[in-house]
Amino acid sequence: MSNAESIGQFEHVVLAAVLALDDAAYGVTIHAKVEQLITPKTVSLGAVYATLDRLEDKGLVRSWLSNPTPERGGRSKRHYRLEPAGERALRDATIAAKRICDDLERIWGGDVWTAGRRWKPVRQH
Amino acid sequence: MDRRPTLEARPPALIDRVVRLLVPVPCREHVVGDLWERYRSPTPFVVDALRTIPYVIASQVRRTSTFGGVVIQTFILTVTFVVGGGLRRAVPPVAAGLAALVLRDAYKRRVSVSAKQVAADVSVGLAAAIICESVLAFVWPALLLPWRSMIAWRSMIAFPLGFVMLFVLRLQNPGLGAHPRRFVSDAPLALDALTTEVRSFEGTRRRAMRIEAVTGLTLAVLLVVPLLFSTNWFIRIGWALMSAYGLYVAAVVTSRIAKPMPDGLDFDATTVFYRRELERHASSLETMWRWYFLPGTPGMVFIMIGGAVAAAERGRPMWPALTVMIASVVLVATVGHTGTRNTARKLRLRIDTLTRGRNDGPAEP
Repeated sequence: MSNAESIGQFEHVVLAAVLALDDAAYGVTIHAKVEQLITPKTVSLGAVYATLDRLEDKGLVRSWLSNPTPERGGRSKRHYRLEPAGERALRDATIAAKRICDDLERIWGGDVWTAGRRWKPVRQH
Repeated sequence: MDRRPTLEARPPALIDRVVRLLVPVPCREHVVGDLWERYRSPTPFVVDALRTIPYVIASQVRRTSTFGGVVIQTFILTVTFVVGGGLRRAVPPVAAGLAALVLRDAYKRRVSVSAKQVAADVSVGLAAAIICESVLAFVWPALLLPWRSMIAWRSMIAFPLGFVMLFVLRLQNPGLGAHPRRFVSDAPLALDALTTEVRSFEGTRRRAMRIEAVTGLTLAVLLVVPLLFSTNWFIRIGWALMSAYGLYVAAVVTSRIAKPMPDGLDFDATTVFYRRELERHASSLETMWRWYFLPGTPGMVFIMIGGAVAAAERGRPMWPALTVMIASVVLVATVGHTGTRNTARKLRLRIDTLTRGRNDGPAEP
């Protein structure tokens, strides 16, 4: 059994965004990627920062400042990268999510992947 | 979609200045930069900033404040202001002072270490309480601390004493247990950086121990006064035990002051020395309930029993006073234990980092 740090659903999304963006992962791009992943929901940039801070404190991501760029008023970007512990936590959370999806697919059928479907819960007797 | 604005697209200077002021200093560089990068026109910029900044402040407060630190400061401020006008009237200055202290910690670039920096932090809390009272005088005079009790002798003692206690508490525990992330997770890469960190750790620890020892001695002397004027033998024995406990704390803490690191050690020897000192400190914190808190309990128990007996002799119910005393002791013990355990956990993480050795990965410029 893995002893990776447990993460919440939003932390899961943010870790996935950081992994997907690789070297281009910083506040603005992570926020855009997160919004893309959780469509149609939206999220504020501040919520992404707060989650990144929390993940950094847990030792799941690390950050560093880049060189200043003119389009940002001469300010630096804070880049993020997954730590090995972050990759482990992301993998564990994804496996758990996959298991949930498989179970729901078995109960609800193939329509589980249809976006915007109005769900009618199947009652188990 | 190309999100990059033209060089001319920049927020109005006044709005930009206000936003910069509102964002805490440690994250100002990248947060303001990101907001600039998303800039399209003034109104969405303001909306974006207003949606972002509260989260950034809250996150920074979480990083720079600890539960134990906030509870202890609330306790000290409450006792300080309750003397001046009761619990209800004490709420506004306590809340204002505490909010100012917590926000001051969140907006600072570094943890305050020197006496001057700590005095400045405490002054901010005091100023916030005074401003709060000044505003209340105009908007809600019923909640104002009454000036008659403010100039009473007990208030004249309680106010300075409360803020001196805050000063000593913060001087003894820089950051009140909130270690910066970099301290926990980044190992120094060069001998100079490591030596500086070790010297800073030693200096802070030595100062904390000395403050603790002096406080123990002072309490041992001061507690003789209630010992002489107590109403019954239970309370007298209690104060005598507490006075002896003050001497015990002073002696034990003095014996635990570590010798400074010898000069001229190489990187590996310095790491070994530092790791051993951190290990010693972590283990001392983990067992603190046993060697620090437990010896103080007999005195407290005697005082509580004595207080209950004195109340019964005067025909008053003993339970309210006893409940308040027990609750206070349990609260202080719980907060103390939680705080020391968290600090020890962070020190263990630090020790792990040093054991892993030099970090790989990108370095900050």
